[in-house]
Amino acid sequence: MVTGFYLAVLFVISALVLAYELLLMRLFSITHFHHFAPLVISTALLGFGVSGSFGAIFQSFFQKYFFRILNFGLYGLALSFLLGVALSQTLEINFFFLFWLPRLWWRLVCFYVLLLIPFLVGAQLIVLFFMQFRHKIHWLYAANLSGSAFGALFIVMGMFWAAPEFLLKLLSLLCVALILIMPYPSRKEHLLQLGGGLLLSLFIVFFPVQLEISEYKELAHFLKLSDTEILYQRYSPECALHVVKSPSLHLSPGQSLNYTASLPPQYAIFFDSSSPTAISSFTDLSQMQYLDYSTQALAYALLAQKKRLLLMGAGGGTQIALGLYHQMEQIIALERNNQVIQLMQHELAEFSNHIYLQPQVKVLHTEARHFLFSSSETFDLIQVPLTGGESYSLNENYLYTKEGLVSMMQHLAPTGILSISQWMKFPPKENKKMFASLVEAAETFGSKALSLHFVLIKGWNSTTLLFGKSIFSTEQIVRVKQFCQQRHFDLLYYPGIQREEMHQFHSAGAHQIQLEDLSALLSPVERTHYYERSRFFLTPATDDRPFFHYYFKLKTWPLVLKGFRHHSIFLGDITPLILPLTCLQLFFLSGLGIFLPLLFLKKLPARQRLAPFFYFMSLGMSYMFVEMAFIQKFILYLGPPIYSMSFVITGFLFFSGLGSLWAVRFPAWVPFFGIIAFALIYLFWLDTLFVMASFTSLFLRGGFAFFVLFPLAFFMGMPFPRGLQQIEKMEPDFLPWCWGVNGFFSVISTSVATFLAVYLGFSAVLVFALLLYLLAGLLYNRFS
Amino acid sequence: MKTKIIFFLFILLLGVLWFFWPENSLSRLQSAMQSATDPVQKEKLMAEREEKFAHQRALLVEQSVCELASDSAVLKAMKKVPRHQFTRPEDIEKAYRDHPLPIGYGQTISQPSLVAYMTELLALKPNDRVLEIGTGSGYQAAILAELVQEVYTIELVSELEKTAKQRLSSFYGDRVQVKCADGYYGWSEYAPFSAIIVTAALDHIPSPLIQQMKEGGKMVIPVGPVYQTQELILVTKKEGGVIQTKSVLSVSFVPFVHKEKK
Repeated sequence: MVTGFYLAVLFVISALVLAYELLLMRLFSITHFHHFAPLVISTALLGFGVSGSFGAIFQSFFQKYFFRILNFGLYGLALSFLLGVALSQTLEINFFFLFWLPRLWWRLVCFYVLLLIPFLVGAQLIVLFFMQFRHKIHWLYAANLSGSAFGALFIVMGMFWAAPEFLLKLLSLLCVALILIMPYPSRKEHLLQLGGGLLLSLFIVFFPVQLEISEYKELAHFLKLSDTEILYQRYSPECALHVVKSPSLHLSPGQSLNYTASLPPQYAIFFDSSSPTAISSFTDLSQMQYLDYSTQALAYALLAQKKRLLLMGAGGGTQIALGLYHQMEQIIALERNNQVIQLMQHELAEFSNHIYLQPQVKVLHTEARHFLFSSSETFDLIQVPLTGGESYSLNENYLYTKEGLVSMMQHLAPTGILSISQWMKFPPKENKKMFASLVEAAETFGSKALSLHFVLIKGWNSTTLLFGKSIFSTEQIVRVKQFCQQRHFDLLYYPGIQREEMHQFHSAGAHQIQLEDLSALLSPVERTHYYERSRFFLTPATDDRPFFHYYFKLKTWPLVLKGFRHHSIFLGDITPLILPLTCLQLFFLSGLGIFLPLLFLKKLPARQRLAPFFYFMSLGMSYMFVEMAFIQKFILYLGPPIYSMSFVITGFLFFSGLGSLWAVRFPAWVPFFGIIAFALIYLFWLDTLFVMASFTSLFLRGGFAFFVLFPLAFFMGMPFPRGLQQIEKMEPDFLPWCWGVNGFFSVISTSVATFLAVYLGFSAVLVFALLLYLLAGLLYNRFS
Repeated sequence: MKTKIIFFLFILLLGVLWFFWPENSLSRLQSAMQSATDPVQKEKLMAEREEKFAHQRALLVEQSVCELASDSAVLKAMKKVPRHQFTRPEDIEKAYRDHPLPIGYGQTISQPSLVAYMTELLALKPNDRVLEIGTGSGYQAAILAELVQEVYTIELVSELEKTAKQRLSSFYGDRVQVKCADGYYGWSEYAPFSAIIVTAALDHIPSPLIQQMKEGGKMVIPVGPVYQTQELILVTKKEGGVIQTKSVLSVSFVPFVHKEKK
């Protein structure tokens, strides 16, 4: 009989494992490249599936030595949490060299193994409970899910106030705490475990864990230089900030080659050890003249009135300085990272000449789209500046979606200008895509005479695209020409441009943006053909498919593979390769994990095995599909993605836990019906609900988010324990195997969902989830 | 069932064997050299190894480098400079493959064909004075030293600067000057330079470097985020100090070459 004590232990173990997963994601984002974390951790999470395989193979052993295994498992968990991270840090891997230095493959395998062990041990302990107390599956599943919800909440809160190294040790120490409170059969044993636990605690406390930032990240490079020091470090679940002082910092994105004066003294903020953003020190605004020598300054030369500026990204304050340099009367700067705001308003205030605290400046901690959603103010200039960050194909960007661009246009004053600056890309796929997106957004917005609303200029490595709410006047065009001539920037488009005026200073060779390209994109008829002809995916991103930086069409793949054969990686951007690579390795390893245990289980007719297989596969995939689709849907409503992730993950897990407790009280068809009904309602009417409940307080919005999630998540918690109960009645030996199938497909589904979202959109992900739930509903009767 | 498991283990064993199997005669030679105790024997093996490397170098130039570069002087320099002496010992066998290799500190020794192409873009004459920003292993500076009399090279990471200085002075004496400093400011004592070659990606072209270019001088610089697509930009200082840029080649991450030459 399962006792409250064991349920509590299961609750804590589940919390620790999920907290560790989220912590690991954070750690790897700081120390390694963006690609690395999902690739490695998704594989490590296969530990959940493997635990099912082991459970199936060694079930009699596990049942016989339940208590002993639980005891040792907790020691293993405490150690593997700590050592998994510490040892993996000694393996330096540059992902890009993996393609031609096979000796690095072993390091990658070691990485996988080191990180798989904690998940395997943790999941093995969880599955152990399911095997031992198999008559109370719904209670166990409720403890498992609500524990995971608590773990997610705990670690997200923890990341605001403690460094990741500390949190890692804390998780290990919590495992030790569990060891100490276990009900040992004798006093002698209790004392023995107490001694062991204390020794382990000392080991954990004094074991040196330091984050080793990959030598290929920019921060690591700077830290190797003399006279470089980290002034401040801040951690949050969103990102780690390092403020660095170094004489070797010279940041001036998109600066004209004509500018010869030196830059003012700078510090830099590094976000997750890369993407340095400048904080310039100045006593007089004239020292910031260098900022006027970038393409980003163009809009200021054209403004009819310099009253209100909306800045998408306050960062180190340089773009605020540019606004002040041009005497804007009021500047509203949005910053999604609250710690940047705190640093700039306090520790860095003096160095930055109190730029965030100037009377004309108001810095808001919010996500750009959320601000646009909740505000009705208008602005003379909306500036989207160049960012120091690299753009990854699979990054979601809601500002660059068609809806995002339309909402910026809606916030322009009658003579207002929207200015979007980008890095010049070769081929200029992003630059063309932005032009196309802005043109389509302007169409949706209702602008007439489209070709008269745009100006596009190019520096040697950046472009700036302007959209005027009113058409650009002849006088404004003259000012554009003067601006470019003085700074040696090229004109790419203005109403009435001649071909010979383009590319005067900076030739892009075969990657030149031609006038024909822009004319085609301005014409609604030719545009569609242009999209089809292009080698890249230039169709504007939408809120449903918010992957602005994803350019790969299916027909682009042969070119990528051809590039590989020639010892070259086509276009250099390897991020699109990561997703299929991850999927491939997950499918291969999951296949092994699912089918190998079948060799050890008793033979069943194929039909009897297939029904539970597809049932648990459907549940594993559909649960994650729904969760991912909802995280995306809540981002616009809740603000910074970290809030959305925290609310959705916690809400889903907790309410599903409740659902699990109530599972047996409903007829079998009810949960499936409930899931499909609520998901359909949300698919069509969630946006309307959000508009109706657009509260300013985050807590009210969070409360409403929970209210919306509750019924759906509640029903989603029921099919899994019910399925396991059926399996337990019919073929108890198959219980851990079914757990494993569910685990494997949960892991696979995150990559598959991203794939679907990129090509078909998040709504399609939700539709697939519903189909899978329908399939599960139909299969349930097959094996019950 | 046992048969299935044995079969599975057998396949696994084959995989492991394949992975550890020595790659070529060079690896065997390398192992023999390391284990040899007799100095005469060791010298003989070393000569044999150098001969093999020279052969590989010639093949590399004829098969890969000449796809991007065609200047005979540059190709001659590429055939002469022993790239294997600029790599880390563990990568020595891969020195003559047309791809970059890690040299530590997050830096790399560039892909040979790209080194040749960047050098060719500078259109060097024997009396030119060249500045390199980002010495790294010193390989690019060695190629430059084969073509001009004076090479000045600046490295930010002191450990790399020391190793490169040692290597380059043993090959070229005082003709190659190495210093550890911030390349952003160039090397004003020896300015102006006929050519500047930058081997680290930046978000802007430093104005001191532009000022240190001779009129009619050229600068080659890779541009773009590290580890994504980069573009080689050729900067030319025209008469009157007018600066023009031209994008000449797509390179990728650290840096691979996109074959289409423009």
